[in-house]
Amino acid sequence: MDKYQPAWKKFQTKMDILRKKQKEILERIFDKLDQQKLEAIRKKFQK
Amino acid sequence: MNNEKLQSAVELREGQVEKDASSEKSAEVIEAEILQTSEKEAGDFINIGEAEMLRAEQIASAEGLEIDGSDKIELQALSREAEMARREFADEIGNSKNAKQENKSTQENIKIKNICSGCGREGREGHNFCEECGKKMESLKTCSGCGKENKMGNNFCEDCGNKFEKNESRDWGTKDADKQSIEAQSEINIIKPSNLLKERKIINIEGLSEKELEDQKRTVEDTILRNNAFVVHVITEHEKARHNDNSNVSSETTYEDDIDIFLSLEPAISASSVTPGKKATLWPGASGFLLGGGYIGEASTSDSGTRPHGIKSRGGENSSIEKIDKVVGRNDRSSEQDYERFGYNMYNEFVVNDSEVAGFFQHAEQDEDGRFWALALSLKDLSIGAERDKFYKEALNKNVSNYKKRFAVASERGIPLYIMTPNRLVYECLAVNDDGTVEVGKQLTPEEVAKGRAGLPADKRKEIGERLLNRKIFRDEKIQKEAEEIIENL
Repeated sequence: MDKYQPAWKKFQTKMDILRKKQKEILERIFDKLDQQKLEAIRKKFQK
Repeated sequence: MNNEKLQSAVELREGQVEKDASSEKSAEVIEAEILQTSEKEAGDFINIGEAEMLRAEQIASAEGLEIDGSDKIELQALSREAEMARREFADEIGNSKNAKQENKSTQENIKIKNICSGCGREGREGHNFCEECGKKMESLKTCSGCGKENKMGNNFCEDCGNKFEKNESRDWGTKDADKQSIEAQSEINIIKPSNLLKERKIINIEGLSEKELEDQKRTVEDTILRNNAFVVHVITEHEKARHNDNSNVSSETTYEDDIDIFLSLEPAISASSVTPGKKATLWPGASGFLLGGGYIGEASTSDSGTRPHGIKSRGGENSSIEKIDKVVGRNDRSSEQDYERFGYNMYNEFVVNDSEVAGFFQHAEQDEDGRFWALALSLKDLSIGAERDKFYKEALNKNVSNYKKRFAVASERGIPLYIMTPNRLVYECLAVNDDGTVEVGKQLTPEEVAKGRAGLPADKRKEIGERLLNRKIFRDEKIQKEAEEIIENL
């Protein structure tokens, strides 16, 4: 088990970083879609 | 599966190893289990990314919204990174097994002992736990120089400093070979400076009538100077957004046709503004034009979906100069509040009539070391991965090749090349390297665009336009005729 620990730890650290990045990007994508929706609503009100 | 779970699962197997005299097979089972866990973890990660992206695309498609292409690229790059991390992990597990075998057969100068970390008893090879006290065994290697027992990870003897001979693993050799081949490809592709654009005429505003003065204020160059903003038109390559119903030309047109239409016909187009140093969303697309001439018509703080009325007319009534400045400069309280709230300026839209090109740009992003990367920082991930992974290498080569091709199309037509960062700083582009980095020159300011060259000379526009007319790409005959008239009158 010991001999696998460093590699496993490295893999886990990498996956944790990737999960964090993935969460940020997905949040950004949905935020941008929300913004576009908001813009569309705002546009309707302006008219 | 988290670390603790893996630990207990493996320790359970380790117990079985102890009971089993021929432990080699059980060790293989353990390895298989760990590998399976890592595969599941990376697989789940990729599946979540794809499922969420699909969900976003479904929302976007249902509500007529657009997903930012750079976000999509970044997300895909993460999936590739997860797959690469899994492969690396599998390699390392495999290598520790190989290293163990190599140690047995080739490193005759190193004697390896298994010592109990609890009672100090020497154990049999292959046993991970002490048969006497049950504590974990520790592997030690004996220095051939002084006889000192060192930990397995030591490269030099703790007592005499003697170097332990170590066989180079197979993977290191492969990595070096790949690195060399990537370095060999990384010749810098210098972009020849090309600027066939017209010199700007100096306008003397003295003696102009009120109407003439207003027309002058309506020009792209005056608007840029008043608002310190770039005026840009993004060329979208996105299937759904490209030449939609709002366009005069068929969806069959190529990327080169798009550029040619712009340069030769100088059509009325929709544009957006960006302010140097401030993040802003733009219409999706890797490339676009910096506009340096033309007249601004209808202006809106958001996507107004302007429609063309032929080649030279688009949208509704001209907006006032005050409204244009509010849109282009985002100099009102509401825009400032939006920027504070969202951290970026939202897409605005205004019509530019008789649009004149001052430059061609592609997106690029700067890393923390100050290097610029084509498209976005996700390309850096691809570049790093390309040293080890064929899949990454292919993706990198494709992106870099497309990046170079876009620049080549503009450069062939005599348009100066630039890169634009997410916070909308613009730099001269000097070269695009095969590793995805971009060499940049001096920073460009909106003022330089407003006072510099813009629009191709008439003879060059005619040459490009005639080539374009033969392609019959306009949606109807009326538009084709209008294009012919524009070219004829040049």
